[in-house]
Amino acid sequence: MGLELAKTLTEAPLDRISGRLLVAGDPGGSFHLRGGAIVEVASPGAPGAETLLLRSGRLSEDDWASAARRCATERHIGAELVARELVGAAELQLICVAAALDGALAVGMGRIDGFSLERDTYDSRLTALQAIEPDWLVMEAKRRIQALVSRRRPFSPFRTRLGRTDAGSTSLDTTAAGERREILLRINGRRSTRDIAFLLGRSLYAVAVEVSRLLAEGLVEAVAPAPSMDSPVRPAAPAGGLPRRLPGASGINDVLPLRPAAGL
Amino acid sequence: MTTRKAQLVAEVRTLRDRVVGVTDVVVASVDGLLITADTDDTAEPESLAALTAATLNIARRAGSMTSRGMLHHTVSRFTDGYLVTHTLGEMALIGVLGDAGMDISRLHTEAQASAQRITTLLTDPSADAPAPGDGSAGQTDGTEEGER
Repeated sequence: MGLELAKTLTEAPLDRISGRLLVAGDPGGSFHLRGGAIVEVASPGAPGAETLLLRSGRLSEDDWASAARRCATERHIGAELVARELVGAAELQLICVAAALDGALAVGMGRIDGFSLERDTYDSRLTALQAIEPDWLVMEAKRRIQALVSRRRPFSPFRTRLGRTDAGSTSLDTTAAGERREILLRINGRRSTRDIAFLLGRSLYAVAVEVSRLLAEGLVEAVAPAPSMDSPVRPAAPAGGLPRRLPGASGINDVLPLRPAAGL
Repeated sequence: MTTRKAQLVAEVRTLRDRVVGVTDVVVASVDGLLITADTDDTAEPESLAALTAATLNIARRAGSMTSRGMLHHTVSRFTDGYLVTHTLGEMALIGVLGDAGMDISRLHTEAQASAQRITTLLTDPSADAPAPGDGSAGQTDGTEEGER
């Protein structure tokens, strides 16, 4: 399914497709296309450009709200932000590309159930000033996914909840201020890499790379899902999840009496 | 911890695990008393339960005044996230806090399934929880499992 999706995206320029490619799955997402190129990738699995701008403190909420009010549709909010000199054009493009790559990475690393193309549907939030070539985006997202899954301690950026080890807690005293420390501080046993990326307003890929280093150094560990005391109390399932067979339970021996074994 | 309490905690955790972006979940009575919670350190469970109930009750009254019928859920969208409330019958509610990327459509689907299971847990007299206390006419028995 992932290959079909990549093929659809890379062939989008041929038909100069405009619209939305909606990917169902977990976390899933949507690719927004204009004239065959990608202007935004949105996914619940990765912070969008708006989150990267606001949560990181690059842009204040008041400035964002004020710019948004001026725009009839938020499609052009990027141009408005640049016109007001709230963010540089190059910086905004960089953030939009990073967000699009993150979105593609989230879609690609998650489960893809299917996808559908809705032509001429425009509901993108904050689009890149210059559209992104699908070929490049697909290739780069693939490279990043490969880089993450080939790490010594692979983990899911969405499902793996992270906890600090004792060494990790101790290292907080010596870790210099910076992204690594910010990530370590936010690891509390119930957050995933994706959750921390949203909290910090940082790129999912950047946070995932740092988390994989922390895992390799033993400062962070994957927290086992759902301790037994919190599990619903249900009859113990037999090994393998299949019903246990009990001799004679079907009653077949009452209908067809057992034949003596051969030779007896 | 009673069996019913453990099952409620498990249901709440399941909802958080199934929907990307959910950070906190509370189950509370309509008058805002906490029944169970799975919250991050940014949200105080009792306060979240009370505020969620207030949100839901205001929406319910607005709907009632304007003859909009039965309330299903409310969604409050903020710059950095969501507060979503779902009704659990007439007597209880689920409050969900999520970050800006929360998958809201998936939440609605999962919350409806969770709501059915939680309602059953709260109202099923066969659940092996302590018997409901006295003097609670009109309340589901689940509301007596609140912390206070």
